[in-house]
Amino acid sequence: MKNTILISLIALLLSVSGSIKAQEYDQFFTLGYNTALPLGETSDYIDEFSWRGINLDVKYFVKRNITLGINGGWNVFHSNSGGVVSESVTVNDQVLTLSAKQYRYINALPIYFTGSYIADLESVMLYAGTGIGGQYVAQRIQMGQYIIEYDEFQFAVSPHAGVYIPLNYYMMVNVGVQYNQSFTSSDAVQLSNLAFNVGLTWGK
Amino acid sequence: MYTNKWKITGVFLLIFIAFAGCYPDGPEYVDELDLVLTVHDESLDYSAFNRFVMPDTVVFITNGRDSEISDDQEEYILNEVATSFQAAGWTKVDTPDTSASGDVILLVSVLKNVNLSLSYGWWGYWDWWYGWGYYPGYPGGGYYPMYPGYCCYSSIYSYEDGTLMIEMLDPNSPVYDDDADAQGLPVVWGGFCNGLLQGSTSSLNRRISTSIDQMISDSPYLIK
Repeated sequence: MKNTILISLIALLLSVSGSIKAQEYDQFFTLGYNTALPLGETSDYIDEFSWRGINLDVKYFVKRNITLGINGGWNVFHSNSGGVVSESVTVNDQVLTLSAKQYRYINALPIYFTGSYIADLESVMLYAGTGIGGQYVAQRIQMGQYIIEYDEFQFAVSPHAGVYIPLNYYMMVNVGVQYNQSFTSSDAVQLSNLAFNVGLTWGK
Repeated sequence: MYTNKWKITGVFLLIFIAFAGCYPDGPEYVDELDLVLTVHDESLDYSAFNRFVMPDTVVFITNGRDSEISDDQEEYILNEVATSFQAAGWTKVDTPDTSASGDVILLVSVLKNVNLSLSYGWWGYWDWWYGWGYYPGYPGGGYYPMYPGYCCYSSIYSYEDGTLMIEMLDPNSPVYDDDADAQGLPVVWGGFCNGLLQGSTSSLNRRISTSIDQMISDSPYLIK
């Protein structure tokens, strides 16, 4: 049933699109809903898929089919242990064991400067590019009434790709995927995730 | 086409706001904030200990108005500690045998902490504008005026949290200082549980019992 709905939606979107070329625009502004799959160290810390996120993207055409722009957003990763979990740490022969229900959160706010290439196809526009910038990462773990937090800005890169499906001259549906990889040497989690964006794009 | 553009935009913004407004919930119930901590010396052989002595009172420490713990609560806590250790294979005795090395003393304490928090008004958050000094004087030479119609909002709220502490002392290994006077008995194991003091007495007792069981479960070296 779900597959039928998804296929029908994609067919509907493709059927209403027209033949619109990238060089007809000066800029694209995209506002999207963003989900993310945690990877690497992030999945070791929180292995739950993130359904909470937003994405903003602005692309300025500097040449035909080539854009520069800014991309930003917000993702929330969250997990709770469900029941009591125990963690042990040894300090000077003294072993401390903590048991409590754990709540883990990561708020990630990426901001990138992007460069993309947009290819015109018959009824859609494909794009691919990369972003360089960083992510502000607010990481928190709560056990009982006690919270340990790490807040820092991590350098990050973000290759991305997707498709614009025009609805009319002004608006398009944007479906894309973006890989975010941060780098840090601190105790905070090195954030990496695969983000899936669905949004509306306004062309000007 | 113009109308469709704004209709689609409006619907999308509503969906977008709905998803962006969802934030994961944290703890919802009081017992989800309970925490248990145990401390032990990994160089110590706990199999040598198998009997315990307990005073018949709980040491009560608080910054609140209560001067002592209720008799029922005290009895419940002492019984739970004794029962849990006995279930782990320990033997309760009335006096420690200092000629042997297998006896320990279990001291039970309760800390009740009353936390107060003050939430002051809008003007307090932004701090005062001074008449001279850091900022140019506000016309009239006074403080930044309160937001019209938004006066004097502040609130005080308090909550209580408690910590149950069980300390295991070895009476046969007193600690001496430089001049050979015994300074005290070493704490060879500690068990602590912390949580909010909210709810009925029965729910509080249930949480105490669960926490003491967790302490024993986290200390398999104490199980005979």
